[in-house]
Amino acid sequence: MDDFEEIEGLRQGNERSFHKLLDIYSENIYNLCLSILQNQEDAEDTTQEVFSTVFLSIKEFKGESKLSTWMYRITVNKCQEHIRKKNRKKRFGFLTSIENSENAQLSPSFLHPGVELENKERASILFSAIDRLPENQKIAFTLHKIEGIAYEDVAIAMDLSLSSVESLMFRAKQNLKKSLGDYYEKNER
Amino acid sequence: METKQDQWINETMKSMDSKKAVGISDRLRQRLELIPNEVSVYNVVIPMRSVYLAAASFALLITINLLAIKNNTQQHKAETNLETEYFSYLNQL
Repeated sequence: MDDFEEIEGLRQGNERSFHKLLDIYSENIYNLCLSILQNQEDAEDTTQEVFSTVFLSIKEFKGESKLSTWMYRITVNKCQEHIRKKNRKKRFGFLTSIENSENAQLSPSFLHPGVELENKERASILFSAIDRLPENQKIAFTLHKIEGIAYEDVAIAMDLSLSSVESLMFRAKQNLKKSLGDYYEKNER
Repeated sequence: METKQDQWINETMKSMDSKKAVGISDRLRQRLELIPNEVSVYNVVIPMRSVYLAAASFALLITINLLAIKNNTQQHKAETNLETEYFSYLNQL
């Protein structure tokens, strides 16, 4: 069932097994954090938190799902914690009401380092629109559409049913099309 | 027919399709490699004295609570006895 052969070594706190885990998964987890958090520093910090949690909690991993899916679940939880912490801080900020207002325009600012130059600007607009989505829609869309994770694994990672994920994806697409449409009306015409 | 706006939206929605995975920096790799040491050090660093102190505090807390409950029960019993005696005295009258 599993995709990583050194789980036993990890359970015993073996450093070599942990380095092997890093070789295989560190890039995936970092990219996932980067797409969800849209900030390189935050993504690095969260990646470190994820691997610390994996190292400490590997004994609790029962092997009912793939190790990668279990790690996605930890990543999603850590990213959600990070987003909530950030939002809590923002609430005290002066510009919160303007920034969070639904009518506020998209403000593309995040340039994903993995996107080709010709698509950078559009991807930045898309990321800005994704950032405006409700948390669950944002995470489902990022996991599936941006990171290419299968619906089944997204459902496990988010602790939701498959149909809930499908519904989240449908609503996310609708909302994105709407905010991109509004952006087009105001800026691209 | 697809309008110019629809075309723009669709292209924007697809702008991430050709995204490449971003490699992690050497700095992050180093941070990640240090995790087993940091976690182990963290485990060793907790002094046993603190553990015993915490356990003793809990034991003390539980003892105080038990004594308080015991005292309360005795006091309640005494009050009940007094009341019973008083009412039986009233009944005799």
